[in-house]
Amino acid sequence: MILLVLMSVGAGIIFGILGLGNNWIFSKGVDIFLAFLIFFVGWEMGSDVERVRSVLKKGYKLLLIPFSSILGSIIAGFIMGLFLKMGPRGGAIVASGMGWYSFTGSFLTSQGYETLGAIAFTANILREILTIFLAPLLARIDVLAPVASGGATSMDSTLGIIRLVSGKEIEPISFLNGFVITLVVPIMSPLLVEVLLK
Amino acid sequence: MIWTIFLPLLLGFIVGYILKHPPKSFFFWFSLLLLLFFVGHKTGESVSSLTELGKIIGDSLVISLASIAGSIAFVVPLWRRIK
Repeated sequence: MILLVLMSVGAGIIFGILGLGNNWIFSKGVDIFLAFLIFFVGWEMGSDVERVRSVLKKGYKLLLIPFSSILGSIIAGFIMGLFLKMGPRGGAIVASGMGWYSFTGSFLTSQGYETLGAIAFTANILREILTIFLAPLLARIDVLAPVASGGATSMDSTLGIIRLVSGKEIEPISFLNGFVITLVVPIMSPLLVEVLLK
Repeated sequence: MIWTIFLPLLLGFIVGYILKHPPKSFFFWFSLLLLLFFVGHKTGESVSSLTELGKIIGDSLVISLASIAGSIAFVVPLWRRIK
């Protein structure tokens, strides 16, 4: 599936570079399909309210894990941004995507930050890929290190590898981490854009 | 943001709550792949050359490694305290 994702983006980039398809659907495509994707995410959450309730019952201590993960990611992005053309604010916003490449990249692009959107998309897809490849090494640091690395993807695409390298007992925490981050990112990233870029 | 994020999320949540079953994965992939195609298109329009595209990938790699390291640096000590 990752291959399909890369092919889809690659085809879009080629179309864009060649200047093909500059009509209404191409200018509104990001907004339309971002809304569709978010609609289906909402649908999935609404169909399993018990899961939302069970997450809330886990207690505040486990909730500290995703929030500290987000904080660490944003601070690291801010610091690293100091050395890059995008600057510390851009670095913080890109890092706030937490691996959710389809949201952060699309959102920034829809807000008129095309270059930052492209970096956010690539950085967050790389976060997912790097987590898959580095998980066995990260698990040697701590069983929760692959969960922290996975960010939003720790509830879906990287959950399998996390279970494999960190053990079955980490699975609920991994899911909780990804779930909370998935809830927080669509609120936090736009807020960061409002505060830091506008 | 209201039209592209909050309203679709709320509408989707209501639909899911009423239907009590998740959407078929086909819908996710259909909207995701088309979304990524249009994101790619906007990216292609905004970059003037492949050199610039290479720079985007370089910056992205730096930020992704930093964000992974940052998350681990904050989570692992916390986890060791609460477990």
